[in-house]
Order: sequence, then C-alpha cells, then structure tokens
Amino acid sequence: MLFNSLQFLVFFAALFFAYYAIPNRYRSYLLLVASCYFYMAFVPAYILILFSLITVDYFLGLRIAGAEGSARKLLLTASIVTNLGALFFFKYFNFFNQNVAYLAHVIHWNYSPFLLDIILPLGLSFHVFQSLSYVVEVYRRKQVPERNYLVYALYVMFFPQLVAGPIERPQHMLHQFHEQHDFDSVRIRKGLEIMLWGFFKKLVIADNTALVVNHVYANLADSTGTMVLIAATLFVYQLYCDFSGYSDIAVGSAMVFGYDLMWNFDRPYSSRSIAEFWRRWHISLSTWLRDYLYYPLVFAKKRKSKLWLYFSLFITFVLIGLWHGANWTYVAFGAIHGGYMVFGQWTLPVRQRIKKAIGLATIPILDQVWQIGVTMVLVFISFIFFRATSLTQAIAVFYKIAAAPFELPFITLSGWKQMLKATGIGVDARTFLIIVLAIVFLEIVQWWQTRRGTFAPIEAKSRSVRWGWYYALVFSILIFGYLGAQTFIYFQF
Amino acid sequence: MKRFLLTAALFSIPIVAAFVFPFAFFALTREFETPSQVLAVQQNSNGAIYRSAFYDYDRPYKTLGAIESDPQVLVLGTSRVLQLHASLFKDPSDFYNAGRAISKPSELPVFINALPSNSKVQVIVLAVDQNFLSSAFSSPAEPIVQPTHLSIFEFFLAQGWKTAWQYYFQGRFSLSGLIQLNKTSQNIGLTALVEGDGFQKDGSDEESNIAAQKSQRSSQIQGALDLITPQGSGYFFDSSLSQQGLSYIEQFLELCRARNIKVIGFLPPYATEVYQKIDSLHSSYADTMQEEPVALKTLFNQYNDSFYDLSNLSTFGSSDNEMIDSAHLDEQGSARELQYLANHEAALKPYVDMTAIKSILSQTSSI
Repeated sequence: MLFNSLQFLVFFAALFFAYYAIPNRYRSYLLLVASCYFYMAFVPAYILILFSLITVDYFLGLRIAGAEGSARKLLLTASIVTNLGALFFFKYFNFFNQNVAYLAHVIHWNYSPFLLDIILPLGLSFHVFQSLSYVVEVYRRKQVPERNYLVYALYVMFFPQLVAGPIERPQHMLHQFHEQHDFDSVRIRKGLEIMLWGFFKKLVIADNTALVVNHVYANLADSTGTMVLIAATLFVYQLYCDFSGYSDIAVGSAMVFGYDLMWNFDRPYSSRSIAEFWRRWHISLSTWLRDYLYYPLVFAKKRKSKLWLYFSLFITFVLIGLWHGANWTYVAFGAIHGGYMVFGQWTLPVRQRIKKAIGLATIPILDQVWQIGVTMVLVFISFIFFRATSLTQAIAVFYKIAAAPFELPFITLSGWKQMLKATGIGVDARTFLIIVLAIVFLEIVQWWQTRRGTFAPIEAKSRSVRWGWYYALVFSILIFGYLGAQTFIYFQF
Repeated sequence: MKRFLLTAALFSIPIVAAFVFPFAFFALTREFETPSQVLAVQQNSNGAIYRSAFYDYDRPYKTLGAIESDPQVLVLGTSRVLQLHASLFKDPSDFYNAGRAISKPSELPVFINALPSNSKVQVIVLAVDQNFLSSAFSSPAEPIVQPTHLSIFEFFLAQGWKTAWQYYFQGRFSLSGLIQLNKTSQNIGLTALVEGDGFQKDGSDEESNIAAQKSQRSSQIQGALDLITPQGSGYFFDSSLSQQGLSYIEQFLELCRARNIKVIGFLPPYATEVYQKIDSLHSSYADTMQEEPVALKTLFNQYNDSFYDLSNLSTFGSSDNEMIDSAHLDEQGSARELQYLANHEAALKPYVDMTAIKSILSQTSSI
C-alpha cells in the first residue's frame, strides 16, 4: 500500500479509530494485524518470506542468548547466512549470474546463465537489515532477546517503516511495543504535522520533478545539454524529497500511534563535506553499516594502518551502493562516495594548508558556501549514476551536460518557452514554475528548521497561525501536487 | 479524544467543502459511471450519448462497446472515422464504430485480442492515420484497463475536482443548468450533457456543432499548414517509415486472419490544401507520403486484405465542403468514403445500405 494512495488514507483513519478504541494491551496486536494487511496489499504471498525470516531470527535470538562460546557464534552465523541468503537470492542472484555469464563470454567459456523469474519482495533490504541488527545486538549482549513472538514480528513488520525504513535498532524500538500508548492529542497533532510535510515533499516536489526527470532520461538522445542539466539537478531534489518525504510520513504516522522512529534525514544538502553528508543522509543505513560493517572491519586488524582504514571505508561505501540495487550503477555510486571519503581524509591536511594560504578560512561565510557548494557538486555527480539505468547511460548524461555551458548563454526567451513545451522537458511552464517555487519554499522551511527545530515555532503559535500553516500545506498538496499515486523510489530497494 | 475529533472535524470543513461542489457536478453529470454502466444506459435508452469532460476512457469504453454489441462490421481507427453511422448499414445492429479504441499501431493487436474468440466480426474497416508510421507513434501499447468506481473516484480526488472548479469558473456550466439538464436529458458526461457532443449507441459521434466547427475550418486548416515544413513536425509524417509500426499492423493482420476477419484498410483524407502542401514538398519527410500507401498495400495484400489510399479527397469524389476541419470528414463525406469502399469491396458491400448513402449524399452540404 502506498502512503500517497486513497487506500492508505482510509486504512490509516480506520486504524486510528480502532487503535484508540480498544484497550491498551491489545493495541500492539492490532498494529501487527494492520501491518500484515499493509504489506499484503502489495504481493500477499511475500508475507510468507517475511514470516519465515521473522521465525528464524526469533528462535535464533532466543538460542543465541542462552548459548556460549562457539555455539553462540555458529547461531549468529546461521542467522546472517539465512538473512543475507534470502537477500542474495531475491535481489542479487540474477545480477550475479549475468555477470558470471559475461565473464564466461570474455574467456570464451560456454555458460548460459540461469535467471530467476521473480519479483523482489518489497523492502526486503530494509527488514533484513533490521532483523540482523536485532540478532547481532542479542549476540553482543546489548539486547535481551524478545520472548513474545508477536512483539518481535511487529518489530520487523511495523507498517510505517516496513518497506522503506528507517532501519530501526532493537534498543530503540522493542521496548516501545511493551509500553502503554495513551491518547495524546499534542503528540498526534505533531505526528500529523510531520506527515503533512512529508506529503508536501513527496507530492508537490518529488512527483512533479519526476515528470521532468523521467521525460528527459527517457528521451536522452533528443534532449539538449541544458535539458539534461536541469533534469539531473532536479533529480537531486526528487530523490531527497521522495525518500525524506517517505521517512517523514513514516515518523509522523508512528508518532500518531505513540511510537518514536529515528529521523532518517537532517537537511543533508547543507552538509559541508561528504562525511557530514552521510551523517545527515539516510542516517539509519549509514549508521547501520558503520556499526555492523565498518567498525568490525577496522577492528578486525590489530595493527590499523591508514591503508586498512581507507580500505574499510571504501568497502563500506561500495556495499552501501550495492545495498541499493543489483546494478553496476549503484556499485559506481557507492564507489564514488567511497572514493570521495578516502580522498577527503587523505588530502585533508593539504586542503587545510591551501585554505589557510589563500585566506579562505578567515571569511567563515565564504568558506561555508564554498564547502557546501563543493559537496553538492560531488553529490550531484554521484546521483547521475544513481538515476541512470546503466553505466552507458550515466556516461551519456555526462557528455550531454558537458555541452550545457556552450548552450546556456545562447538560449533565447523563445528557446526557453520552446523547451518548456511538453515535448521538450516533460512539463509545461506552469508546472515548472511550481517545481521551482516549491523547492525555494522547501529550502526556506529547512533553513527555518535549522534555526528553530522541526516546526517548534509553529507549535508555540496561536491556533489561527497553526491552521493557516496546515491549510497552506493541504491546499498546496491538493492543488499543485501530483496525485497520481506514484510509487516511492526507495520501495524498489 | 472527543475534543480532538471535534477540532479535526472543524478543521476539515473547508477541505471537504472544496470537494463537495465538484462531487455534486460529477454526480449530476453521471461522470462517476463506469463504461459498462454507460453502455447499459445506452442500450436501454433512445439516443443517450456519452462524453466526459474530465477524463479519457474512450479506449476501454469503445473496446467494451465492440465486445458487447458484437457486430459483423467493425470500424476501427481514431477520431477520423467517427462520422460513420449505423444508419449507413442495412441492419444497424450489424455495425459498431470503434473509432478512438486505438490511437497508435501497437494498440491494434491488443484490441483484437480483447474481442472474444467467438465474436461475430466478419469485416474490419481500418483507418490507418498517416502519422501511425512515424516514430512518435511507435511506442508499445498499455493494456486495456476498465475503470472501476474506485479508480474513477481516485481520479476525481486527484484531478477531477480541480477541473470541475476550473470549468465552473470558465462558465462552461452552472449548477442550476445542470440540475435542469439532469432531469431532462439521458446523456452521460458533462460534454454530452451541456454541449450535446458524444458517442452514440453505435459508437459513432454525435456532433451538435458541426456548422460552428466548419465556420472555423479555414483558420484550422491554416494552423495545420503551418505545421507542414520540409523538416516535418512528426505530426503528419516522419522522415522514414517506422518498421516497428508496420510490425504492429502486421501482428494485427495476422490475428485477424486467424479469426477469418477480412480487413479493409485505408489512409483517411486530408483537406485539399493540406494534402497538396505535403505532396508539393520534396524532402525525405514528404517522401514518406508516397512510400506509406505502397508499404501498407503490400503488407495488407500479403494477408489477402485490401488497402486504399484516400489521403486525397478527390479519390472518392469528395471535396473540402465535406470536411469538418483539416483531417475529419463530416457525415456526408464519411458516407461517400464508405460508398467508395463498398463499391470496391465485395466483402463489405452486402452490409452497406446504398440507398441510405444516396439519400444522405443528395442533401448537398450547404457549407
């Protein structure tokens, strides 16, 4: 079920009334039933896969807690193999086989790949990581195993974060399912506010922007460099608004039912370095990989050379890329970020010396603008790989964009008008203006949030001001939003 | 909780209000009805026509219409065949006009596969628009999805309510006028109800304002002429024939042959000036005008079917007086076109009422 569908609105309203109408002790179970229904709205049969993994991890978690020594390690390995095996089978098997076939072809070995005709279960990467987090934490004795099977199932299946995160940790989430969640109107209102903002990002910015991006990428050969530059730039906002919009709706809807989910985004486009970007972008994934991959890799060696640290960093980012999908474009996306991180750390002293020599460090505002600008350009480059359907297409996009500086100064007003016709950039001038204004509005609100916190000033205002804000958002969504129930980009992962 | 719900209800009033009036417009104009409901109403009424002002469900509506009416002669094409009426046939129930059931070649095989295997269709008169063989019309077909009440309601929430307000403020209708029309007319859809334009029971078009459209013919033709340049615009022709488009047509012919359906294809006519301008150009773009009928005729003949190039009005004795605009024939022009095809095609002739055609043609167009 998509958050931006009529079906979800009805589901959410019905669940809200039912949830607060029944006694507290039954509410978690109602959420579990609702989450099953939510998940089964996509492909019903896939819930069996999900419950198989839940069952395996539930029992292994209990056994790990009671085991000692090598048995403990063996049980952990069993869980990791089961979870990653399922992920490999559904997500990477065909990719792996196709690449083996390609290699075989190169070495003139006759190998025809066996390809599976299956659809990737929705959000598999998310709940596999969330399950693994539980088992590893139990193994590390930082989390007591959950004895109630249904509560553990809800930990994995809680509908707001079931298909696209945030990837939660057991320490943060599990205890909440045992707590009492009374009706709290202030909290509910706050949750709805966050959801509304998420819907604005998704429906007004991401889905309108998608019209341009999809059109230009589908007609790359016929598009000019300027069009491709505009589309690639808009994709930066599409991706952010699509995913952070989803996360806001997830956090907000969990809050309505009394649960706290972690924030997945913290204004990433105001980052001053790539390292900071990853502390602000898809936080639940980057911290997951830091805690369960990067740190174990670094500490695996007793003598930690710089080279080993760089290697660990690079590998972590390549896997972040691969986590997104079975395509070399995602591997390239991860490798580029890994490269940025390694290069950034390696050249840090030199860059600081240069900055000091030219006096940039003495003008903080200029320094900040420079750092944010460079970070954004680097992110922009990596997102071209993220959006492209193949490495060849990514390279074609770079070629096209390279022509843009030679076109831009020569485009006349009628040329811009021509480009904005449906055949040029996929949307008319009115929709393009809506996109631009909505992005400006987003930046203003985010700047405001940086200074005052998420909607905190609105909370303190009178009802008329608050309602004015809500109405502005609701009617912006209804009038300017693309309400065609477009799926979320991260659902495919 | 009660206080919270009361506040939420109060807050929702302006939002609900924004939807209430458009909802009333949709209900009064029966825009919520599904194609199957529309067809049922048309079956049981005398002359109810259907046209929505909000969405384009023509493809599922016409496909379902073709299935349910199960005719022996089926006209297939775009809006350029919509003036072929059942009254031109000896037994009107033998005929269904599925104009606008397709808009590109890839939809042809999908359409024929949608017909039941025991369908009675014997002859398909197929208008192949000239631009069908340009690359812009070569994309694959989407499946035919019949709209449900839920999908129509979702459309209403997403887009329809906004369009209703837009039309209201443009003065296209008034609420009191609609209430009155709702009582007196059986027509379905805002355009059908207010403007009197729409699909009839036989699938053909009822146009209330043909005279008004003809009065603007010259300016409309001028607009079309402006699009015709040596480089082309992709609208009329392309610089080469799309092999993909040809392959979809071939798939269609193959499926028809498997069902023993005779296909009579033709290129529909243009207004004289439009035809002459394309013909006078000497470019690879214009050359396709010469190549297209040859390629299509060869293809149709391979399947023992027939093909006619009627791009030039004079081929079947028509003139600009019988054109509504640069590309659409009026009722008389369509009758003349059908007469020409029936005279050349023994498979079609037995169904056509030549007397009715002569009677229509005797009423000389005054415009």
